[in-house]
Amino acid sequence: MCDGCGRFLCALCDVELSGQHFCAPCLETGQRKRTLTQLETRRVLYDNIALALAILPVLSCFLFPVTSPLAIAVAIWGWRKPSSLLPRTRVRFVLAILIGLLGLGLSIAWWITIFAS
Amino acid sequence: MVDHDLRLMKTPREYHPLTRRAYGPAGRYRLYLGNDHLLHVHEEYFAERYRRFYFSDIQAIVCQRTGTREIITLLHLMVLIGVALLLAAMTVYAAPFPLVIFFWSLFGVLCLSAIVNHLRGPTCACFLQTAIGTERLYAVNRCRTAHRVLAQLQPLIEAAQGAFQPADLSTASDAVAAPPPPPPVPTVRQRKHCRGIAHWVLTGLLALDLAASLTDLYQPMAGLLETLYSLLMLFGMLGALTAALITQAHSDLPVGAKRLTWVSLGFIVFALLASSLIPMIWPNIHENELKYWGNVYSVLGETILCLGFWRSLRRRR
Repeated sequence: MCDGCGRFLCALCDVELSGQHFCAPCLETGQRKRTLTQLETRRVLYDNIALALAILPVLSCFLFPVTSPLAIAVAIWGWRKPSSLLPRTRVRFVLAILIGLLGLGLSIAWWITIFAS
Repeated sequence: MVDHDLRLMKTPREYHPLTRRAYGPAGRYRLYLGNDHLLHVHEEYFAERYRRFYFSDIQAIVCQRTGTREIITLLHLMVLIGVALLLAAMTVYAAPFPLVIFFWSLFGVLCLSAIVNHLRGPTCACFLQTAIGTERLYAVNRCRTAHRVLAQLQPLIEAAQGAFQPADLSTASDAVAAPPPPPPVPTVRQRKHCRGIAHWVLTGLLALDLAASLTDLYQPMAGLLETLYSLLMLFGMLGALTAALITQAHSDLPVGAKRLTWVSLGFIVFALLASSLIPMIWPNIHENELKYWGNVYSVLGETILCLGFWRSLRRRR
């Protein structure tokens, strides 16, 4: 019997995966919707993307107004997304948001200073 | 409905790291132990790629010792010689104090790195074979790590496949002898034959430059002759290097010779960078002094490279 949908399976249609039995449509659905972690071969690390966006302006401070909001947006958007299959904390998201907020504050202060002068 | 059910039955997996992170050709690699499989993780910075090897599917794990540790040590040695020469020159000619501190720190870090590299033991290449094909485990790059990983994996594989008995081998060979053997499936890319001519040319040019540098230490060349010689030698070496790098790719040339070609590239690039950067960061240096230390660097580096090439290539003549 399929562990996904409960259909009875013949020996030909039965696919065993980590001790569970699936039919082909359930496997396909699991792979497409990323609900079967055993079939996943790639994961995007949104926390690293957010952190890179937050730290990137160190190379050129003119990037702060663009990359800081982007870093915060990616961090918030990726917070609930499935991260690595391996044990991983959300500290990079937190750092990205903090550095992004700092950069955003600095860029706003910079613009205010320019307009005030 | 199906999706909902699959979500419900998804079980959290626990992975335990088997190795430390190791650098490979396209990023970092690490090996993890799962409930019933090995997970080989390829870490790109913004994504991770996974390969799973179930214990019941593993046919063989082959480890082969490589000379990467010696090459890394050689690289360290060459850069250390360069930095030591710079430090000696700085001490003699009273360079600015912060610059001296920087290069002493660099020297210390390089020494520490060389010692750590040596203490980590000999390097190896580890391959895992399944019915599908052979995969290189870049995460296992030291013999000591390989032994530890194999000791951990053996009981798990035996639990999944049953313990190996010597009697199985004879039974298996009898069973295989009966039917006609299947056509061999090539799992490893065929390597082209390389005679190493470009490498010999490069070695010859290095030896020629070594002789010229030795002569130049005692009897400096005249201005125009030296410029012509330097240009010819530079273009000759770069041409031979390019040819060597092209011909050695996917060839049966010894690994040592292949790596020495890359080391030669590093040696030439470092020499070029140093000759252009040192006058910029240290404008007081006299041209003859720079030339003298350059010759000393060339003599030391080229001697090591020539001996290394000769040792790697002599069996292929």
